[in-house]
Amino acid sequence: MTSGELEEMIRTHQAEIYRYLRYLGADRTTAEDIIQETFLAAFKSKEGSLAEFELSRRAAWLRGTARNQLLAHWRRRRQYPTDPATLVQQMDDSEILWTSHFLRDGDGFDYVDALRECLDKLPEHQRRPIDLFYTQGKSRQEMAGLLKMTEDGIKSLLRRIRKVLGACVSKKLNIPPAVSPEPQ
Amino acid sequence: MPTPRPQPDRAPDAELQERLLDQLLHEELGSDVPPDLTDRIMMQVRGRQAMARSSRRIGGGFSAGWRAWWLPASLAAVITIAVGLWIRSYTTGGGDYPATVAQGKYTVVGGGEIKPGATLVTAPQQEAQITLGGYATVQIAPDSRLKIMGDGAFKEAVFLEAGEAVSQVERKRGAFAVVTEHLKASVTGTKFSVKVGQELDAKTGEQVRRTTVKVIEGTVDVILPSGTVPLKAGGTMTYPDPAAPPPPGTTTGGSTPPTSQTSFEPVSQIGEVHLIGIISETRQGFVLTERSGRQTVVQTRAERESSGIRFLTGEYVVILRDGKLARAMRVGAAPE
Repeated sequence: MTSGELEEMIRTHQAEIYRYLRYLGADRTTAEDIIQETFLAAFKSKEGSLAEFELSRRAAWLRGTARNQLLAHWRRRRQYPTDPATLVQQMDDSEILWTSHFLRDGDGFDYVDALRECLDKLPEHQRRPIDLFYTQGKSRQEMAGLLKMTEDGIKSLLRRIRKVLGACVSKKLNIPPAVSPEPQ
Repeated sequence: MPTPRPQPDRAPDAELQERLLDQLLHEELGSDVPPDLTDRIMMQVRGRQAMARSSRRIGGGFSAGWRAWWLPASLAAVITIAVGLWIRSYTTGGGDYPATVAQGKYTVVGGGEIKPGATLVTAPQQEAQITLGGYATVQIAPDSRLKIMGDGAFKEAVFLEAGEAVSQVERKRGAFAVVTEHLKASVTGTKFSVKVGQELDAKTGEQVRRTTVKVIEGTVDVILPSGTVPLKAGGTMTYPDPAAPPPPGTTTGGSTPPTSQTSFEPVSQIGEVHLIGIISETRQGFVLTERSGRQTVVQTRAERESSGIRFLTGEYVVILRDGKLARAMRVGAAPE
């Protein structure tokens, strides 16, 4: 692979890999470091035709490499977010959701568009907590003061709203509604 | 074109779906936008390639001590520059790129427009201000000389040949750097001043050209030949350090510029030419290619043997004095 092909590949795929790593639970700094390692690995890869892969196949290769790098990172630091066996299973499930739902149109734009439409339809009492938390970056503690609730109450409220959004997105995209593994 | 996938029939796991939505909401509504790491990664790649080439060229590679110094310094430089650049792809969406705007009293060397490549000179009683990319404002002090170097894509830079410039850069809009013959001060959102000129060396009693960086707000990464030094608000740095000999790796050479009682004498008056561009090795020797495409042989093969300056490939500020290479400062890696 030439450095020009690598540069093109970075520009095309880095946002998706970043999003994917954050979705898997990497913090921002870790995600950035792993993206770098992933593309350096791609550049050094003996698979000389990587740059010629079909876009989705190349993205899958990069996601797989990034995922393994993230696992290795957690292993080195002994900071698994959960026990390793569960984690590997979760990552497999995550990949399924990523490819069959989020990337169902190839690039995730359908999913994001559906989310935007669903956000626009949220009633004020649900939109306000979302704005406070995501747009204004308020902590749960600050929100608790503003909305006169407990921090746990805020946590539950945000989860409920995300669930509403998830159901709305699934409906718009014709995806079966999400299944909760635990009783709510 | 991506291939549409078959309609998914499996219900998503609620927890995973919520996690995905959480990330997308942070991106859509908050500030967790994916960074642009292209420059950071490409500089890593080029740094490794340049090191491999240089190792081969000087026969048998560097000493372990040199390698131990070079790698952390390169990494620091790469990270510093990349952090300044990642915002670019998220700020370039839509609309024309703002033109460079100049106010105040100044002269453009050779006439012409205020645009990348133009050099502005202020006389002793003149002051000017330029705004680059709509986010970086540079106040040019009297008796200064400054060249605009930006590439019009949220990667603005100026080369301060002489005098003083106070820069204010809006956060999260783009990268900005002030380059002098000694260093590169790279920022993404801060206020700082850079002054370059001659001053009396207390030890030797001679006039010495130095650059002083003073940070008023935020943090500035000062990129020196020996590595990168982060400088915080209130911090000041002068290079070469008046209290110490030049650090290892400083590529000084040639004679001291003629002494002058004027603090910041424009370089054109003391027979110097400043060039900024990419150094590459050719049959003739080391050639500097400026952004305009103009090429100058800055060091022939024969001169290389007798010169104290050893080039790597990359972006350099080069000073020719009376047509001869006097100083060189590496300020970045080269595009392939």
